[in-house]
Amino acid sequence: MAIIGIDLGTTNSLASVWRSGKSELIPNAAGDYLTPSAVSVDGDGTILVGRAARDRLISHPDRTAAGFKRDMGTRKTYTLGDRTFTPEELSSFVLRSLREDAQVYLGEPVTEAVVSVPAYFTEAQRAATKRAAALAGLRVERLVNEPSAAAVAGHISQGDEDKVCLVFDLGGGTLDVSVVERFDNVVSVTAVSGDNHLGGQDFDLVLAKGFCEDCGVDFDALTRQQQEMLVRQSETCKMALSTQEPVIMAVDDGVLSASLSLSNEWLIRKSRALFQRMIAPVRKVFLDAGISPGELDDLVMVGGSSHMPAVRRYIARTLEREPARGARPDTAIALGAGICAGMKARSPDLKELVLTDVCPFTLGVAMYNEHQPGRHIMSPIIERNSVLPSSKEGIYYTVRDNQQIIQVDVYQGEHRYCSDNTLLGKLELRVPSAPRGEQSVRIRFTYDINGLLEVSVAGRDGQTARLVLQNADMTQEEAERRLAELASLKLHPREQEENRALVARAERLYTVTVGPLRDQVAAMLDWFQGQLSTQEPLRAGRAAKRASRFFDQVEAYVGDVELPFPDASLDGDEEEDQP
Amino acid sequence: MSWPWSELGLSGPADPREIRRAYAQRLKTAHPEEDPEGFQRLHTAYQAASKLARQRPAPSPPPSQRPEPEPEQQDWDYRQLLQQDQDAAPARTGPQPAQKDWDYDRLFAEGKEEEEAVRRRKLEEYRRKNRAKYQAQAQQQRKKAQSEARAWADAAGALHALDLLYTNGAPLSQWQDFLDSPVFLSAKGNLDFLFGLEDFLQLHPDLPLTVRRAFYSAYQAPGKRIRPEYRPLLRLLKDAAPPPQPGPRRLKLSRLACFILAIMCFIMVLAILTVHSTPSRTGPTAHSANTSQTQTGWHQQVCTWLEEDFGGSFYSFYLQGGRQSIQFYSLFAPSDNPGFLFIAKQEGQRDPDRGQRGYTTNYTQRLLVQELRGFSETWDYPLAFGPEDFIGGSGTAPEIYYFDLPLTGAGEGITALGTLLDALSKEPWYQTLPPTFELFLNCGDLNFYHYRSTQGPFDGDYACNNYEVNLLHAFARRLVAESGLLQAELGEGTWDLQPEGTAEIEGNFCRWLSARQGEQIQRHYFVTLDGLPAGTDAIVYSVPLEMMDQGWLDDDDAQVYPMEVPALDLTIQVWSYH
Repeated sequence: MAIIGIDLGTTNSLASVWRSGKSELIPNAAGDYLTPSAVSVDGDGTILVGRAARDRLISHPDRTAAGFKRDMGTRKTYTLGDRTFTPEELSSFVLRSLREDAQVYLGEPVTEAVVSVPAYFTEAQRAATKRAAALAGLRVERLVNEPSAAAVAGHISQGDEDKVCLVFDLGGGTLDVSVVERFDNVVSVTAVSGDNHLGGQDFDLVLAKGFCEDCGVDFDALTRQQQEMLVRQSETCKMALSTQEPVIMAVDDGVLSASLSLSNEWLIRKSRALFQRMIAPVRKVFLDAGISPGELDDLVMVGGSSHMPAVRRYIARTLEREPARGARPDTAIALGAGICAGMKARSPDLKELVLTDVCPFTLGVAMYNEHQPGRHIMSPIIERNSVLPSSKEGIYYTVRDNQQIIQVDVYQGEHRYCSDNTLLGKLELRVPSAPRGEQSVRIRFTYDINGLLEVSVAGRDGQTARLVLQNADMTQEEAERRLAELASLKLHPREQEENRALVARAERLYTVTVGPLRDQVAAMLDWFQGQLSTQEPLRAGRAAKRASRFFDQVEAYVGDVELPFPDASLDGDEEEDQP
Repeated sequence: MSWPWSELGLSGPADPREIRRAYAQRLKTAHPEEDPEGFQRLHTAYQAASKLARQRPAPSPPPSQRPEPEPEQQDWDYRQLLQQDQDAAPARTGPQPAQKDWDYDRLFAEGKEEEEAVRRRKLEEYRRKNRAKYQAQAQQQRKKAQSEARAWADAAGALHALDLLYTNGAPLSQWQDFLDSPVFLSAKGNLDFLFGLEDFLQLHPDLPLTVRRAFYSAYQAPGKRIRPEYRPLLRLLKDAAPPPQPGPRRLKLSRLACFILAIMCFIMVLAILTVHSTPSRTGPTAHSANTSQTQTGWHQQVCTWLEEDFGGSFYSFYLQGGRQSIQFYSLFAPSDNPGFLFIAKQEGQRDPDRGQRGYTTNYTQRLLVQELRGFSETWDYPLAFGPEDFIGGSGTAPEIYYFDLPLTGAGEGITALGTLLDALSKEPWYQTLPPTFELFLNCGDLNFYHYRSTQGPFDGDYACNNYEVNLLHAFARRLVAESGLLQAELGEGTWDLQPEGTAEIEGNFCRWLSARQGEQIQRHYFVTLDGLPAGTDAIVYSVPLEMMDQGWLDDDDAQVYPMEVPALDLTIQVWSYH
């Protein structure tokens, strides 16, 4: 029984299978490899998937949905006609359609798949993807990160030459940037970064709005149908711009009639902000991988939006490197997913191939904050970009005399305070009464290659507790509650503005650093806050100077990478100039 | 052999390539899925070894290996690297791409500028729309205020008339006349008047029943529903309600009523007699106890003089009705029209032969206001007063009048105004004391005729001609001036608005003007005066040629001008403008 690989994309989805030594794409009923990720409900209640559904986006915008991958893992619902669906349910329709195509193509039942997801997908989004597969009757044990899949595909097609690649995966709705090392039988992802809400669809919308601007039409005043038509038209023109220039974009539905000649220059002008957003993850991934752009051997650009010459040139120019030829942006991920499916199936010709991936985000537990009780600090256990599978542990102590219970709150995210990160789960362990600091627990995080996090807590007396997190998901109530909590918070006037800024700076640095440097930043921040809480202005002043000098050094070391735009980094310079 | 090299199966420090090879080899036994712990150990060692190898380059790197990264690799400047100017062509770039390349920085800057421009345009549009809205509101409020002021004037006048009738002890027939007069009818439903009337009735319970009855029937037409605002008044007049349908049992009652009526009639006759006889008995010195001789003297004197000059009879509002309050000191009114108050003051000696009247008055001016107001209402041309708005009853009269006429089609009205003023100037009162005033005929804030009463008669023909021939030209000239053509950067050379440059005017909305240089139309201007002819500011847009081509204006018309403008197709030539 074959295991298929599925690239579940924002705009298009593909399926592939590992057969006779290579990864094959599976055609759909229409004979195409690309199945649009769109779902529509017909008048009689039947579900349409693929091209048919995509065409109905314009004719029946109220009965059709697309781009729902962006809302995976959220509680957003889509109403199609008189029925309401979650993003998972909609994705499951697409997966089911792919599965049926595969069964026809392979002539055997298909019940298992490897699905590719953006590397930067969070736990909740991964869990939702798995649920969607389950709804489509597919067992999915393995989720593979899209850039890793693309790198694997490249590895198979280009041989096992030693290479350090940057995989730039700009799809319909997400951007993933990974640094991948390839050598011998190993494909090793070193670092990942990305933007979960940046993709081709953003370009479509920006172009549609730009078109309206230049034609003197108020986009917001148009009907949904007209907007949909314009966005669709923009998409067509955007794709046409990849091969020819200029392209005339014309719309005329009897009410709205306008036309405009589009060029790539026009596209760049209009989508300035999108280009600038693209660069931030690229900077971050270089920092995390610990290499410089000069050390790259290959630039692999995949994802449908990498077809756009403007994007290709921009990234090539920024990295001073030409994108690798031969990488097929549309199909590389699906082919890679097919290879991963072959690996999962223990296909003999892939036995030696090893893919190692990393954890895209930091996992940790909440720690009591001495200086600001009630505002727990995130204590990282598995740092982001740790290789998977990973198993790490930390030792934590009681904070009060005669403390009975140690509560372990598991969080995911890069921020210093737990309240800014995502709660994955909670766990409690009873400990014997003792003076504070004398009782301890060991907390072990085990994050396996399938994206399953296991938390085990062991007390000194041999008591243990375990928690397996798979479907952790932030509920709407939680989100709303947290928003309400934030709104009701009154600002504490205990620090002066300058010290407040210094603390904020430290917190920002905390999010951009990893490892020992992060610990140092945390230590300095703790010390500084301790000095502040003495309420002695002289002491606080001296501490501020010292902390500021330290943060200057840290910033100089990390290159101040978190600031995505040039004008923002100027502010940073000014900060550094202060004595 | 030490960690990490031992873990990788290496004998000691090695170059990165060897490390990778060893790692790949070992991975086969320490597969991440099968032996996570082994893999973890192996990977840690691999990372450490790679780091070491990088920091300390292997003793003899093979020549085939690609060059080591630059020594400053830990401190590369991302900011510089990532923002490196396109012009500084990177040496490391591979073969020059066949593809076209773009100057991203310039395009980004342009994109930003465009965004700004759009934002500005939207703001401008928003302001413009709101401005038109506010103007419309302001106009409405002005109209409302004017009509309120007028209503109040009517009410005040009617209340004065009430007082006068009462204090004069007017017979029922006079009251009846009053109740039938437009003065009463126009003020009848006015709340100010109603309250005033209620007060009046409470203050004077001795008002004859017949009069009260007349009031009652004026407010309560039999068989009709009582309007709520009349109820308190009718309650006050309850005693004057007409008797219910006379039935056999009511005979006695009605007889009684007849009796009472007779008595009351008798009393009334007595009262009238008394009142009428009062002036003759007391004479001019009747109030000498309260006021100085000269004061009362001049009031009576002026009355006499007014009667001599204008005919008819006048009385002093101050002397009559015991209301010797200073605020009525200079008020007079004709006896046959007690609501028509005006000011008169004694001044100098009277010598009719030498043209000295012995008093000053605005009587004729008040008459003029009345006439002009009538004209304004008949023709529906808004009339404004200056310098202060006139408030009826205070007796002051304005000296400057503005008529606001529409942009087109008011020729007849102007002729009629000329005729009216001509007729007025032949009236005896006008001849006796010509009112001094200035009259502006305006269209919005464009004035096309300014008449001063001191400068001979009103020249209706001239005003009409000016209106029909020159106003539109002036209007168009103004459009051009305010269209920004004068300030526009049209480049070198002399620019003319040639006769071909026409303004199409629809109502008060000028579609476009074009400036030409030679034969080529360079720029179009899209101008309008919003809200004209009600008298508002000009709003001007300059529109690049490209937008005209895209039909942008046509789409926009309906949205931008929600106000109703009278449709009128008219093409006029614009004068050459340098």
